[in-house]
Amino acid sequence: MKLLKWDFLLFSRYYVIQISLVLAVLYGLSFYLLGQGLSFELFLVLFCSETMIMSIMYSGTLALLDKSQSTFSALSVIPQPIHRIYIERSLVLALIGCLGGVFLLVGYGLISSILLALPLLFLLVMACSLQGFFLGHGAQGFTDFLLRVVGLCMTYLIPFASLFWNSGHWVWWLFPGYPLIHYFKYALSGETNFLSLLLPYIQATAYLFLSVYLLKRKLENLPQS
Amino acid sequence: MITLDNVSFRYKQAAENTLHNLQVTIAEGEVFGFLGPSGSGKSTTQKILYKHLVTEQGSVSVNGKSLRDWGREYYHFIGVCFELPNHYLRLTARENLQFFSAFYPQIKQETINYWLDKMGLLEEADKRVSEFSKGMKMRLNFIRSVMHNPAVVFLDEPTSGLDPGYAHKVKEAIKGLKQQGKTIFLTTHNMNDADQLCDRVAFLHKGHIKEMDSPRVLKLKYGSKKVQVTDIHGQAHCFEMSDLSSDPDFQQLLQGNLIESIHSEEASLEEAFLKTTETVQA
Repeated sequence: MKLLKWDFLLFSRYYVIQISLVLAVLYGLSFYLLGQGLSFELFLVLFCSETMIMSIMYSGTLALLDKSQSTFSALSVIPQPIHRIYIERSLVLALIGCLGGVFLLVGYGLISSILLALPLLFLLVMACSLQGFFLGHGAQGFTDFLLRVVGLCMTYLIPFASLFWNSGHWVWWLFPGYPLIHYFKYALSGETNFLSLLLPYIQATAYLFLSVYLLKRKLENLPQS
Repeated sequence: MITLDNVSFRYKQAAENTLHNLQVTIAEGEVFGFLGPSGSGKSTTQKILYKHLVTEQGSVSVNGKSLRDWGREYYHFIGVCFELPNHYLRLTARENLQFFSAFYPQIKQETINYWLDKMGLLEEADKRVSEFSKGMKMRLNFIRSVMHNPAVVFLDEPTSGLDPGYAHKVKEAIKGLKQQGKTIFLTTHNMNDADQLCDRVAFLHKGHIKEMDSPRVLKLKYGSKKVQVTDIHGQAHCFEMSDLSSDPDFQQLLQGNLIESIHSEEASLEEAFLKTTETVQA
């Protein structure tokens, strides 16, 4: 946790925080101006893109930066296990993602959902950031990273089909982006029950732990200098 | 302090070993130079020593403890100065050091200032590293490797890219570390640095240690002692020092009072290195 301050500084120097917040404010303002003209389905796609998919891009780029500036080799000879550094960075990216999420929710008029949605968003963005670090460290360069990221983004976008087709099927739960869709669908439908709100948290937590595990394995097997 | 016992290493999918039965013992407080041409296995050895590679053949121990038994606390005990600069370019020099000092509770701001001053970077400490020259980045690398006061320091080409003045500062700092009792493992192509700094050096060639001794002994062993004589006509002559008393040409110059100057020529470590590693072009 000692590093949080430095991670904020690092992200700020590389304009991750500024870009993220400017985009969130622009999205929020657009949602506010469009009002009812923006369908709920499209809002959800944009919300997912701005928070989760952007965090994959940011973290992947930061991982590539650690490789290109050789700072990864410097990080590999410090007393702290290297995956913990990236967990802390994911935490910071999750906080930035949540802040952006607030702008989006307020812009769309979902102020009452903020309190329950944010912890879920935090878990999901953190998992996305870890997956971005995983992809970034596995990629040979930015082009390679972009090709890999398309595949990962598909797993976040495919479950949006559940908004139109076979929405109750269990298979949607296999996709890492589904908890957010499920949460909003039920939270706003008025059919909410405890289990339907709890399930997204359980699935998001499971994906978070899986992401930590995969990143740890990836970093342990990387050539470090 | 550092022991490599019969260490061999082969990369996956490689046809043959990169390192062959390395047998090295480095004492506490010793400055040990590891010299070899490109591809000789220097980097592989270093990577084994700072736990980036694990060897299945032979054993490595540091401070009496096998590398396998050291956990992440090993990086409190050692410091690593890489050959290439590796800093966050958009952070300042001070911020880079503060960032890495967050992993070592014992590092104080005064320690960072002390090293910045010692390496001539104090005035530039609040500039972004992206504005630094390669030499400045290398000095920052050096500071990062020693600021947590490690007992063992691995230095990979620490004077590379430095002008003579700053190279001297780094060498003085290395001598200072030796005086404090630190063990230093120095990898370099610079024979002068090795000669000036190292208590012992090892010449590595194709993964084998070809020679290992003090620079002085190696120079004596591989270098030939010669005298360079310039006569009064400005012509240069070279004689083997051992044959001087019986060499008729030298005697003729001497007895004819034809000598303008005599200089003894010492063997260099470079000469010894080239002879040992067989890289002299025919």
